[in-house]
Amino acid sequence: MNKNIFYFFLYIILVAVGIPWYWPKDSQSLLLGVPTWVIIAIFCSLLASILTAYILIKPNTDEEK
Amino acid sequence: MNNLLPLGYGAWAFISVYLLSLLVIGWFAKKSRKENTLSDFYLAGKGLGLSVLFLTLFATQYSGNTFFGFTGATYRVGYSWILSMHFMTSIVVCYLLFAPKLYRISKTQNFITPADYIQHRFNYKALSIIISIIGTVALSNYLLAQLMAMGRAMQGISAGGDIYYIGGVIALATIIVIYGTMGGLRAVAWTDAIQGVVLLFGFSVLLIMLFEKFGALSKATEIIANMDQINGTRKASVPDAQTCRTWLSYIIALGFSLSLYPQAIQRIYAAKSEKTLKKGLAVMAFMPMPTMIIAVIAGIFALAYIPGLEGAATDQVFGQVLRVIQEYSILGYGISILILSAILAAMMSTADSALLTISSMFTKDIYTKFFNSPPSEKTLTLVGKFCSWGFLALLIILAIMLRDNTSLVKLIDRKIDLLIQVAPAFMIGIHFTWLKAKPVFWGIVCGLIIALVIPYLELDFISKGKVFGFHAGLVGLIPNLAIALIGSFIYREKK
Repeated sequence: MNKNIFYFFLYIILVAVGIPWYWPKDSQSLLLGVPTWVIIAIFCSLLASILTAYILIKPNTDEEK
Repeated sequence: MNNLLPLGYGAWAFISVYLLSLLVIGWFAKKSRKENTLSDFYLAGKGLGLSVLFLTLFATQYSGNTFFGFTGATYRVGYSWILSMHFMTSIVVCYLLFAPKLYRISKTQNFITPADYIQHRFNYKALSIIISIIGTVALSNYLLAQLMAMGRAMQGISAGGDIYYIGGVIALATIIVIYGTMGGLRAVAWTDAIQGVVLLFGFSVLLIMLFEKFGALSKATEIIANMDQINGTRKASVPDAQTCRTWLSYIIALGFSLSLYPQAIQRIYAAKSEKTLKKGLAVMAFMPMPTMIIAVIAGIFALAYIPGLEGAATDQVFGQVLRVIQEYSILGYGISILILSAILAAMMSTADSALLTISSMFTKDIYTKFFNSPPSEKTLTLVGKFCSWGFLALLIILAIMLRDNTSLVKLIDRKIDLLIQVAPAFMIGIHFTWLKAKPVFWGIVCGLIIALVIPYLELDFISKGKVFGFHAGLVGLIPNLAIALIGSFIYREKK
């Protein structure tokens, strides 16, 4: 699979998991003092940041010489 | 900020010294100029290194409103505002789609404005002009909003009447235009760098002090959950389906529109090298987390411990949080002064970037078009400086006249709907040579009409300018893209 398509799907997954549309509406579970879905959203955002930084920093063949 | 304790002489002296230091930086930037050219003035000679590039990107993307507005928004909607981290990250993700390649082309073609690239790629004047107009309209609205926010901030910290608003707008705008016209992007980027450091430091200490003052976050969450049960709200609960759709819309719309801000594109041109640009963007990818978390935590503590604010008062909640910190200790007072300076700094850094970019677009995209052979670079730089003064004077008058009218500033939401329409030209056009100018132009026209009309339609499924929770600009982008792609395909077939 083309790497760009692979990255695109990773972003889709991170957004799909980061937005708590699937979370039970009456959930009261807490983690580190905040609702658990908040921690999951922060974690997905962190993963998106790491992925973006990786794509930017990794050696690229079409980069300027 | 009208909830703060009156500032003492020491605090005013600190803020004054800070503001004067910006002028000194402008003077140093002027001294560092290598040549009297547009590239040197508007793009700092295309030599921005990693730390300055990162800090100027940060100070430009995160305005004073990020902290003020986002703390107020958290107060209104609760924990779901944490999802704003995703849209701030999506802006950097969207840079991946075009920034590195755009940088490479700009290096060989000596671009100054976004329209320079469009003219080079499509060679179609109407398309370049419409993109310049969209950029100028979006930036003018943005600049006006910053000027009005500066006036309100000065009015708030002086605890005075309209005269402090007017004085604040004129004084701060004059400082911006002086250092901006002295040193161009070099001055703006250097002052942005200082403002970025002040912002990061001030808000990191604020976070520590908030925990020291209010204690664990779990207690605040418990209070908000109890308030939810009494009031029937969902501020500590999982957002409902409509809210989730709106967040998805924000992530897509803000990513594709704010990454195309003309001043952001100029920072891409101004990077020293592609490696510097990529590293700067890589660091930027991590900035949504600390900034948004601080704004959300401040909003959550305010919601739990300063309850009862409603309507426009919720926008002032950050001022209330600062007052609590001010009264807490001597250190708290000092930190609140630093944060006040940081907020003024953030507003000014956003305004100075917008002003410089508007000036460059006027000079390069409009003024030069009146001449068969363009005037010398020295003349154009001078015209750009006059444009900055003239344009700012106009906006100062508007900011003063409209000081009690917020509806114009509320149009700020519409700028996302406008800017996103240029995404196909940049993000698809840069990679695929088969994309043709005329279909892209008509796609933009169609997208703009739809995006501007939808918010004013009175239909059941349209609420607050959004269709089923999705931005009008995103809805307009669908026919925009279809026209650009199908039109280009038909053109290709014809040939």
